[in-house]
Amino acid sequence: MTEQSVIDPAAWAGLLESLGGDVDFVAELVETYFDDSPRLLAAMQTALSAGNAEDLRRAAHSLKSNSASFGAMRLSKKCKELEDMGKAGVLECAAEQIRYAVAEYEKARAALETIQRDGQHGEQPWTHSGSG
Amino acid sequence: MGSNRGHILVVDDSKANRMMLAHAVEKQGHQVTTAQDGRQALALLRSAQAEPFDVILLDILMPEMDGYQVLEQVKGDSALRHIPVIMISALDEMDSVTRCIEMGATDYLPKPFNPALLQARLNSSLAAKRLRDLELEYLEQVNHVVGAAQAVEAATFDPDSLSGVAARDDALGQLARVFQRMAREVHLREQRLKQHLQQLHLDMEEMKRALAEPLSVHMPMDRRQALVRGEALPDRTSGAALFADISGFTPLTAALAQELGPQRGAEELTRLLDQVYGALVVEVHRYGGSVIGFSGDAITCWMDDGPPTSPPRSGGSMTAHPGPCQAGLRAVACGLAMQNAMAQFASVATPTGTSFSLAIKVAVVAGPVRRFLVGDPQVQNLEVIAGRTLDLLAWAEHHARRGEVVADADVVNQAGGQIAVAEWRTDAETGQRVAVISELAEPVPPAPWPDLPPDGLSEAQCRPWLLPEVHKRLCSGTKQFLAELRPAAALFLSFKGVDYDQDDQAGERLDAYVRWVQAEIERYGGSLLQVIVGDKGSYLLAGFGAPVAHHDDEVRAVSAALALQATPLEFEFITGVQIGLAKGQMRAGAYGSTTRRTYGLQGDKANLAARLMQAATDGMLCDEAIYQAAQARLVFAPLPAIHVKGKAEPVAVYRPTGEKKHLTRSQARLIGHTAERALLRESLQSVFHGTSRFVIVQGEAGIGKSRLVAELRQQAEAMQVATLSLVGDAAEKATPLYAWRDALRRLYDLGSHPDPDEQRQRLADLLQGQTEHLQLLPLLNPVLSLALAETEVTASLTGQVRADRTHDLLVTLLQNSFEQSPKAIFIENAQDLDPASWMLTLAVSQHLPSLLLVITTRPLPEPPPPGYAQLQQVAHLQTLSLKALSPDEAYLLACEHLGAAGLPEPLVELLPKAAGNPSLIEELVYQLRDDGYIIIADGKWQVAPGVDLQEVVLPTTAQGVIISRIDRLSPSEQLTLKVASVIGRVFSHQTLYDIFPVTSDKPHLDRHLQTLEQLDLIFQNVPQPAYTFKNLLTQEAAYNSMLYSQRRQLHRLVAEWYERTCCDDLAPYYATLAHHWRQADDLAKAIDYLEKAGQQALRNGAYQEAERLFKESLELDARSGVLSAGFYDRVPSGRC
Repeated sequence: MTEQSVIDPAAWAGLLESLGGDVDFVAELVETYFDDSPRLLAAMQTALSAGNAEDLRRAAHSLKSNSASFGAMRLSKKCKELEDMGKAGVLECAAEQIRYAVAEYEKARAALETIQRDGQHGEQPWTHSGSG
Repeated sequence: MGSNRGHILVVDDSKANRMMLAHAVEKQGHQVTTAQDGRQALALLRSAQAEPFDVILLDILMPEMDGYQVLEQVKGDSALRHIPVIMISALDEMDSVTRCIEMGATDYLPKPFNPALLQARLNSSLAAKRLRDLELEYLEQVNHVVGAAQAVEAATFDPDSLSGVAARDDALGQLARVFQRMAREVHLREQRLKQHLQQLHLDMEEMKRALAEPLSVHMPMDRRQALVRGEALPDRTSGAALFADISGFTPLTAALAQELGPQRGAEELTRLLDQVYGALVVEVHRYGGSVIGFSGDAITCWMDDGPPTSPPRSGGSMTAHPGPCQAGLRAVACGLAMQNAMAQFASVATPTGTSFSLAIKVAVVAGPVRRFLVGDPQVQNLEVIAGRTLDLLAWAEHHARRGEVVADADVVNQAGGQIAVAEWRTDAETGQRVAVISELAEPVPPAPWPDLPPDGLSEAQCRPWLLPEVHKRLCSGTKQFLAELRPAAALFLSFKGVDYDQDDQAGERLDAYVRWVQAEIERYGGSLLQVIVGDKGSYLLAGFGAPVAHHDDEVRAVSAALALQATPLEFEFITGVQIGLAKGQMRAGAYGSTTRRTYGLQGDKANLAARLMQAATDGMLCDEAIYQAAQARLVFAPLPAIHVKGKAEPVAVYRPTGEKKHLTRSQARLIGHTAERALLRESLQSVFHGTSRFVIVQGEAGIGKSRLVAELRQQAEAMQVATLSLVGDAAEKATPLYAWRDALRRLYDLGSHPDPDEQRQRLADLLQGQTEHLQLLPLLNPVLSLALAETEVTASLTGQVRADRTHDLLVTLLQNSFEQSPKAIFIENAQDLDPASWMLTLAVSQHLPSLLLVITTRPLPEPPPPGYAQLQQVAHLQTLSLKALSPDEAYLLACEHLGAAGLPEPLVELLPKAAGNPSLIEELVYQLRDDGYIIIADGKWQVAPGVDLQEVVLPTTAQGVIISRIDRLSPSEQLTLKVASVIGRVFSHQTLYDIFPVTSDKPHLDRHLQTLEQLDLIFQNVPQPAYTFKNLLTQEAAYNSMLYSQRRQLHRLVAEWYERTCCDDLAPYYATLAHHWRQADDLAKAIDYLEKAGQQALRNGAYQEAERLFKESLELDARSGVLSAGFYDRVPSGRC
């Protein structure tokens, strides 16, 4: 899978299933994700500016696992790379990766909002073209 | 705890994750709490005592404190360590997870998580946690028990501390319960020990006090003074009577008993009583008065003016106390002083602080009185003061109120202005006036009694004023005589008919009557406590249950009352006997002051008994408690409830009408065993026509053998057939010819010729000059106690020859003395026949013509006795085996006993319990009748209302029947039966009397024997003064109901009695003596007599007995190691 969809349909379906199809609770969760994620992205930026690899790692870790839960696998993957950087203490490429992550989050957010708005069962273009 | 739901802590810094997990966990039914970082998580964990966490779901990477740190803290905390921790981790963090597992995490949950996996992990962790919790709880409770064990050792154990553990339903719970029980018992034992020590202390105090106090305090002071001077008190005298009644003790008694328990309550009450009486008696004695009697909470006192016939205060020979001023004034002064003394008791506080008020009212009258001493000094002397002055005193007392001293007009007038009167009260009926005294114009000088020398009166002089039992306890010092609250029955009896004012014989008459009452009451185990003469007539108070208690005191009290109702003709002057009985908790014991004391019975129920006596205008009344306790044994008529003074509610009353247990039993016709009876009758017929018949009747105990024989004997006697009856006795199985002895003595008519010479002459007459036989008479020495010197012929006879010649001689005598022919010999209980008796029976059967021989026996053991075996081979011998009655026969027999045409169905259903055994059937129906389970209503037998016959416990064996009959006897009657059972199947009146262990009961033996005879347990032998147990069962049951130690003691008494009484010639009693000494556990003596008996048996050719005796002797010897020297030398001469 070279080109991943913004929101992985299987992961999304898994989330829905794990929550027993509780649409309201999913909406609440998504809302929480939308609240948390910008804070985590900002935290990564702050950690990078301060050269704090550990903080970067932890913020990236959180966003990674949260994003994976919602099927935002590309974002999750980016966060994983950032987490690894933080873990390794190698922050050279981190600034750029953070920008990617921010962009990826915006896509994911848009996609999730679409899914939310159109309902879970609508026939949706689950795949957006990649960033290129 | 049993459910699979838990309290889960979710720790994750990501809110979305927390929400998802929390949502999923809740959905699975668990309770969930979330924490957003490690610090918060630990805080929650450590504060969650009320609802501890069961599982922790823990994220690893968190700000502040991460998962590792939380895990480390949790695992390092003994209170949290056991909580399973499931790590939440992404799949790419397996190295972290591995590290966590190493640190003690239970498991991990990958994220994004899968609900099914979450459920599986949670459940498994919860299960593990539950197990661990149980284990922990178990260990904790084990620690509890261990702790409790230590606490018990340290005497700080609280049994309730184990309740939690004891509620477990497993082995630990069991252990805890056992331990708890044990610890409680240890605790109770310690408590008891403490109480016991306390009691001992109190006893010692009491004993010291009692020992310091002379016995003479049990008599009035005037009596003491007179006795010391060696004088008697005059029958008639004059002076002043004072009555003081204390009120307030009844509620105080109840409060103290409730607060302190019955025993301590009674002791505390006694302490108080003694204080109050002490204060009052001091005044009485100070003013030269005497406390004549106690009644309830009142005292009657006397101040003497001196005998009216002698000049007042003339010195030396004065029998009464010479007071400085007249008695009436002294009595009033005393009454006022008593009221003053009572001020200190106006408020008495119980240990818990409840306050009670004690007060007295006092009445004083002056005039002549009679002064009697009545009663049997062997029992108790009772002081009586009587006459119209006392009637007046009772009248005046009714007009007195609490706190007052009242006096009649004469007292006030005679005092000549000395007495200030607050108020005059006029009796509405008589118009007589009584004065309420306010004060005295000037103080009346006290007139104390002269001091008595400390040893002025001997114990023997004082003893008659105390009940023997009270005296015994006071003197024993071992069993202290403490006051106690105990259940007792009070019997009040009132009577009229003695004119105390006019009749010069009043004292003698009263004395005679009181002695009779004393004896009757004592006969039933009660004690006459008080005799009071007053305006309600004279009355008597007796107690049952104090000072001596019996298990059936209520029955005894009512039985005594029934006896007392039947006043003997010699007391025909006694009229208007009324009796009241009530039972309940009463205070029994000595009370009073150190200078005047009495033994009494007080309480609400004693008062009730007095009220019932007053209400019993046509005889006798008792309360519910008496009825309940005695109704199984006695018959009562329920009466409408009555109102009595002092009771708000009407009181249920009953009238005892008689005894139940001696209801007569009808002589029932024989039912069943028709074929056997026909055969016996037919045998009798053929004997009547000259053909001998021998019949053996076999059957179990109670099956009716004796009845059958009794019927046959009657028929034989009706046909003028001469009869002779013998019974076997298990205790005499080794006494040769024992069974024949009595029968032969009777037959030869030796009983009426006590002189040996005459007996010899009588036998010589019977032998009708057959001189060769005369020579042989000494052979009969051991059988008939003839004490004849051996002749040349008999001395040469030994062994079998001697035995054969003895039998020949006896048969000859039998032939000659049985004048009539045909004849019948009945041998009962042949299973207990001694071998020689069997052999003689055989000889008799062979030599006596026209003989009906009927032998009854329980099934004989194998092999049967030799005589029996030979008898069986004799022609005409028939064996009858008595079988159980058929159900129809059982029904008929029950009808027969009840005199009924039919039986109620429930009784018919019960009959099979008797298994067709006639004795059991008889007992069953009579017990049901006597206990009131079946009654006659509408002319036929019916089950009493509310009774379920199936639930009535009835004996189901013949032995049980007898035991239950024995149980119904009075203790004295039981003892009579028991002592007799030791003596033997046949016992003489003399033996019984001589060895009876309770001396005081000896005078009643005849009555006991009469009762036992009436109850068909024993019968009197004719013509000797002896008795026989009706059947073996009765003797066995009575014997077996005794303790081993009792039997041993009685056997010793019997043995000693024989040695003492028959010392001229013990030879006939060797085996008997051996038996008793053996049972008395004196093996040396038993062996000695066995040996003598054996030698004797050898000489007489009674080889089987000899063998038996020597064997027994050897057995005993092996047990005791006291073999007499030379024994073996002599044995070979026999055939041992």
